[in-house]
Amino acid sequence: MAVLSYIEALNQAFKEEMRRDEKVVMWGEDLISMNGVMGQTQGIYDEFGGDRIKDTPICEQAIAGMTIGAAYRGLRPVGFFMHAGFMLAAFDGLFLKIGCNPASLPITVHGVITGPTEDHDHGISPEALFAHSPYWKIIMPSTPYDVKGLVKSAIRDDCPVMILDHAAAMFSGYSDGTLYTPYTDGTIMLGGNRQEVPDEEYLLPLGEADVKREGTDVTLVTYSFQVHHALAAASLLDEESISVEVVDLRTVVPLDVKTIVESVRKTGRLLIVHEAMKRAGMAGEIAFRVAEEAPDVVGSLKTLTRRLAAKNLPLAHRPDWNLTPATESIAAAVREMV
Amino acid sequence: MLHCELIWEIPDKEDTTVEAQNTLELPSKEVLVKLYRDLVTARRMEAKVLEIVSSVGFLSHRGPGEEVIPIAICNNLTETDCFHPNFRTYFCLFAKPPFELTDVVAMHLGRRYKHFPYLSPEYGTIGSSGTLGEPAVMYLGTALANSIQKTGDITVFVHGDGAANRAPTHEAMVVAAAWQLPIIFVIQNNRYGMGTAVEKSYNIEDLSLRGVGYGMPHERVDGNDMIATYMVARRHIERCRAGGGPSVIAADTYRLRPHYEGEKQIYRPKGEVEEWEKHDPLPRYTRQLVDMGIIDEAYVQKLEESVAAEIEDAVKKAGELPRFASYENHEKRAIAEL
Repeated sequence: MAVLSYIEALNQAFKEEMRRDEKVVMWGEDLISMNGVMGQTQGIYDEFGGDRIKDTPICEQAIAGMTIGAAYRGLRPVGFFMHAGFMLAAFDGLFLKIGCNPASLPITVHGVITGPTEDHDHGISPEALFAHSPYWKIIMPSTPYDVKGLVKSAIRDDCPVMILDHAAAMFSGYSDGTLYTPYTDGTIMLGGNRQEVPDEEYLLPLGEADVKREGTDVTLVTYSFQVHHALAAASLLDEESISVEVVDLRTVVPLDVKTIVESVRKTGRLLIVHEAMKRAGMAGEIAFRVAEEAPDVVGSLKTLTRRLAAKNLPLAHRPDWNLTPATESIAAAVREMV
Repeated sequence: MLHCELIWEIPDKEDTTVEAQNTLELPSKEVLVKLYRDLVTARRMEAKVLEIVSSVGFLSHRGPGEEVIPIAICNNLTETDCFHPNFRTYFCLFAKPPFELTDVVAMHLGRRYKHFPYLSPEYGTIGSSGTLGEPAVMYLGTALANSIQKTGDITVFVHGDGAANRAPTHEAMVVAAAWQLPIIFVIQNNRYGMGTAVEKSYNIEDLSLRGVGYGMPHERVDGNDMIATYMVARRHIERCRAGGGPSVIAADTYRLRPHYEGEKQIYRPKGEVEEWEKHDPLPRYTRQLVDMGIIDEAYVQKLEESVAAEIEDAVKKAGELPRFASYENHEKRAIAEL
């Protein structure tokens, strides 16, 4: 087994799928000229050539729209938007034309969330906006192993799948020391942890959560980079004899309600954490889905379900970790629940 | 007779084929008569379909008087070329191979005959959009797919003067020009974007000038002149098919009907519609062919009878088809609960 960083695993997933199926093509801003800025497309142009990977002009609406036409005409396109916030410049194409299109379109798009290290346009977590559409599947992985298996499944899926990666993981660099953009706050590079990834091919199904840590007192449901904050908080709380079960959703849509319900049935407490803003965020949806599908569990909860998310404020152009959940604030929320 | 002065303005870029392309050859008698039959068929069929659908309260955006542009273009396209008509002229799609009159009549009645002309990706139509202009980037994707897969097919994207002002249309032109994709942008200038006259939204009269800034050859043609529009379309399509890259055509016409049937048209200057009715392409082309000695009054009479019978037959065949349940597919693909 090779020990890979997040960005290496992601890069491998793209390359393996492009080798497997010549219909997989990709385009976006600076994929060749800057290796996708964060390094995710390193080496792809050299291996596959200019018909399979293209640098677009800075035209987000074209990046989105072209995936539709190309998919209808037999390709399996992957559109890159650099930052997830830039996807909002193509909202018509992404939301109305792909997300509301009942045709099976094998489209994958990719965007990166930077969180509070950058301004709102670069940093925003837009998953709830797209989860509101009927047909987008949304994956938000947290580890090298997960991202590789999920991205390979995403590209093979005959329906549109959105990959939202977090910069804290993306800026993890290559084993040879190649580091694209150093993350502003080095102490928070938990997502950059290297991990053993199988050499043989594997796929992870979309819509299956993963219990990243087992516990008995509180179910902590989260996804993306916040998984690492949640795990760190769980370690802190362990010393205080509070046992936290961390459920990593991995895919926001489809939502694995079953795994959440099983965990809450055991712990009797549910805390949902995400980096997107709280109002109309995924936490409200997750809590309600649990209530709808397992009213008996909700009826016997030991305490009210809580959500911890970013304040309903724009992100400042500076690392302000008070805006979004982090290890300490997660730990504090759990303490209040037990 | 021909108002189609060609302007091949590409600074610092020598196009050696210009001279050859400047030679306009009059289409054969057979082609002229085929175009005439298509024009008569379109005009009569649209009225017939309206008669049927208005009885169920369907809101119609009609396009009589604008048929020349799609018909002139489609008669130069192959089965697998991609084509997007202006939304007012979907009824002209029977002119695009392989679609038939019954396909189009059935489509307007919510039924499917051999093909569904609005959405037949293998035959070059991938649907459209209520946000006009957005299909520019979608159809750009078809041109990209055709280019990557070296199919030899081209894309002709027709849009109105309103849609030509929207951002996706511009982004499509940017990318098409930068990558020299096989796509032709046709601006069907009917002088109104809903209620706003073209003078109020443009500071140019020749809308094909949009091509200059992107480095695309551009040409303005009288879109109510069947022969001129056919010849211009053919020249651009041949150039594009030969690998000449993208270009822009502005075809001037006039919207004889309200934005939608029943709309009050308070924005129209008095007498404007009456003035433009004198330029209605149907009587105009009839006169032209009579003057050229190609057809006579007796032929016109016979053609009208034959077209009426053909439409009658198409309506009968379409009426016997089952209405398709479009929502079945919608629900089949929905993620999670409905």
